[in-house]
Amino acid sequence: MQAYIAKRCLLFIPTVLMATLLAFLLLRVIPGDPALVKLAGETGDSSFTQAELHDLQAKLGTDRPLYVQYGKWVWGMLRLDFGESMFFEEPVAKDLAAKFPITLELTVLALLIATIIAVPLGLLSAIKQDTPTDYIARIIAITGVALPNFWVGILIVYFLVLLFAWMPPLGYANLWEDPATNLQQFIFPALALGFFEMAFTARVTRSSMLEVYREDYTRTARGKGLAERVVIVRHALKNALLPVVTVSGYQFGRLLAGTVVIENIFMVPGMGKLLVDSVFHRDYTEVQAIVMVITISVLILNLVLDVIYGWLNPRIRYS
Amino acid sequence: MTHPTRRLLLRASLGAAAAGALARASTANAEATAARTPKLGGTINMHSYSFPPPNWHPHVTNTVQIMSSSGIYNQLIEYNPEAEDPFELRGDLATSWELSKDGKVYTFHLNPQAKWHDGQPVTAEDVVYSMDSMVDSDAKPARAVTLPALSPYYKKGTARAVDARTVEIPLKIAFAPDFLPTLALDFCKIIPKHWGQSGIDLQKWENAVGSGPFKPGKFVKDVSIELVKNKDYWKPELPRIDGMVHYTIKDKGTAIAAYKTGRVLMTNWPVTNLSNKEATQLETEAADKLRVEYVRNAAFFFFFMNTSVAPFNNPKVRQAVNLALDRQALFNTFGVPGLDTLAPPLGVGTWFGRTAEDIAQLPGWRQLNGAKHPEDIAKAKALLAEAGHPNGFEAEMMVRQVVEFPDQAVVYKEQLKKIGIEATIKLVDSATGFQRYTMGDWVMAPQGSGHFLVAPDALLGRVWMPDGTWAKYARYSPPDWWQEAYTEQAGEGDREKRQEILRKMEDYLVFEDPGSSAVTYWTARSWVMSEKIKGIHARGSLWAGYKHETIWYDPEG
Repeated sequence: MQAYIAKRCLLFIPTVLMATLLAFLLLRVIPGDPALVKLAGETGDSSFTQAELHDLQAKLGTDRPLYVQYGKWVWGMLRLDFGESMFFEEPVAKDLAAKFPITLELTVLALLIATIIAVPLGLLSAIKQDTPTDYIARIIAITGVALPNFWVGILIVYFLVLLFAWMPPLGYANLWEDPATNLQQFIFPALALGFFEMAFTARVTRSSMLEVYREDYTRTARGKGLAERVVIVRHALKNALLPVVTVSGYQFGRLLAGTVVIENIFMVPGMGKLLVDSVFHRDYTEVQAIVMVITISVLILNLVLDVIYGWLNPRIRYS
Repeated sequence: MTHPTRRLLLRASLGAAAAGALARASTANAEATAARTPKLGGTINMHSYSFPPPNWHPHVTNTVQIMSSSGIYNQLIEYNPEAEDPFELRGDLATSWELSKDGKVYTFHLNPQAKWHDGQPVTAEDVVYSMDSMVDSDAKPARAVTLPALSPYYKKGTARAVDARTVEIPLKIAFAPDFLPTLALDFCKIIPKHWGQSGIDLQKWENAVGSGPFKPGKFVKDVSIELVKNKDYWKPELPRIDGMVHYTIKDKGTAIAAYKTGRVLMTNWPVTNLSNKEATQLETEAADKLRVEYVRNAAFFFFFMNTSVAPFNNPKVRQAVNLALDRQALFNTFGVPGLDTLAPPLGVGTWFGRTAEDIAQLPGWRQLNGAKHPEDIAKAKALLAEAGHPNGFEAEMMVRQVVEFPDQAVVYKEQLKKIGIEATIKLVDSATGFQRYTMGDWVMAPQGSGHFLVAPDALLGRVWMPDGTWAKYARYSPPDWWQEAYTEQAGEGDREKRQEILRKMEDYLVFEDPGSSAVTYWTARSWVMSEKIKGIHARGSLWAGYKHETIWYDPEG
């Protein structure tokens, strides 16, 4: 196991390096100049001279050769210095510290909602296979997989306004300071974000349960005269949930990266919204930092999950 | 005992009816009075379409973002927010002012009660400092808005503090009729000299010090900007509200939802991604909750041409496009009758503009039997042929994905086909578009410009004079005589003479060469607000009236 972990950690290096190159180069490829965005303003009707533009470019460092800019950024990251936002000229780390917990909260809530709905739905669907209950559950699951989450988000806002003349409070209320308002602000984006994951997990749960249901030990338990409920809960469920746990874990990484659109629709001030705004501003340092934080988070998460899965399933551990 | 007679009963009932009517009238009167009497208190949530600025120094904050911080500061004079006339000016820090007989020096008298948030009095030295700051071409960061707006009128270093409460501001152009309306705009803020020279970071929100009705509250980047009531404000009984919070909402659907649910009560600036048609539709759908005020003649749209590259470096090609554009069709598609107007560069219905009847006869604007006048198309083709393009040409149309530009581009494309110009539409985001404008890497584009003022200097200067924002992007420079005429009219106090000069200038743009910008139509901008918001009306400029000291909130609606 230790060798396995060490090997995986070593693989981090080329992966992260590749991510830095992609994040850096893709931003430079798209047209737009951070200095120009700052000077011109949103409507472009601010006047400035070429000299002022060049001064600002020099200040932001965007007039240096690309390899110099890249080297400076990577060297800074190795020292955990993410630099300053090009647009606001404030430390990027300050933004990340403020926004990451918000995105994390949204992701955790989405996963929680998804799992709480998906597991019973999948179980019911498997136990009542080929009955109307199964069909309804499968329709819900297929719908969830088919609909993009931004569309679900827009629909939620639309129906809230249309039916209840209500939308979540604007701004952001801290979970520990005002949990009621925080819940109002997060429940609907979490629902929208978690809808696909709920559907996917429900389908995985159903498949896994159906497989376990047909195993010899399940038949044996039933043959011993145990009540069906005991057979399901004590014998089948634990084994059926194993793939569900790992799938949910991997979905966490997807959710973390997938908050971008939902945060913009519901105005959740997390990393996803900051990422979109920073792209509009051509705030290279901010975008690069966010991309790297998400990348490294997902890599670490995947490693942790692989280790947990190996510990849970000895067959994997020894292979 | 006297039995009640019929006459007595009739008198009694008539009397009762009269008393009832009187009581009802009195109640209605009281209610009307109550409705007009400002209520104090409440916090107003506002919709901000724009991102917060990269820095908060009021002379650096650009045109879009001053709306969020305007309440922290005062101007010398302002557009009267309570007047019926949207162009009426009144003193803000100044109680009175006069112009010298030779038209060269304004003298302003400051309100002795005026004081900064830190308690120090506002003095003439602060005004001098502020005027110089606004036109300082060496200042870093650049004064990207105040410098081009004020520098035609004021030269740095010439203002003088006569005494603590009196300041003289000499003019570069004697009389300069547009100076005061420019000075009254919301970005011409007076700031404390001691603050400006203190060495603290003037760009930080939390360091802002003004004399205005509000102080900076909580600033949550990309979420909200809060202003809280200045309880020691030197104008008695103002401001009326406890504060305001500007929420940044970029998504159109979310913004509409926020208005309909009352999460926001108004937009902080009449320019959002809601078109006039969408704003009027919103008003109709939520008639019991919302109303829309309009800033008329707020902006115009134009077809933008890069005069430094072929084929638009040829004035005949530019004039061909000018003639070929079917402005009525554009207006029918995008304009809202009663709000928007078909008009050339100097507008319609102003003292310096043409009448609607005259405009309807102008080449490029005229119609025949409800369609584009065929003579204009024929003339356009002839001009293209003279310019060496008898079969037209192909060119890219760069389209920034903001406001109505993408939709307008489709219409422009079809109209230009009629004279043989094949346009390939290239959609870009705003940042890319401005980069290409700056680099000169563009040929033609749909564009628009908001007007600081509906006044000749502002209308013509920003778009056609070489130092104007849009002329610079297009590398355009009008003929020398046109530039001289611009300076001449800017200092002409006689309206009739000024009108004559302006008419010649506009004739050139209409009949000979539109320069870099073929104006299509003028547009109002819509300001959505809740019925619970009182004491505010749209002013005569998009950049006037955002201090909000007189606004009040009536929860009864």
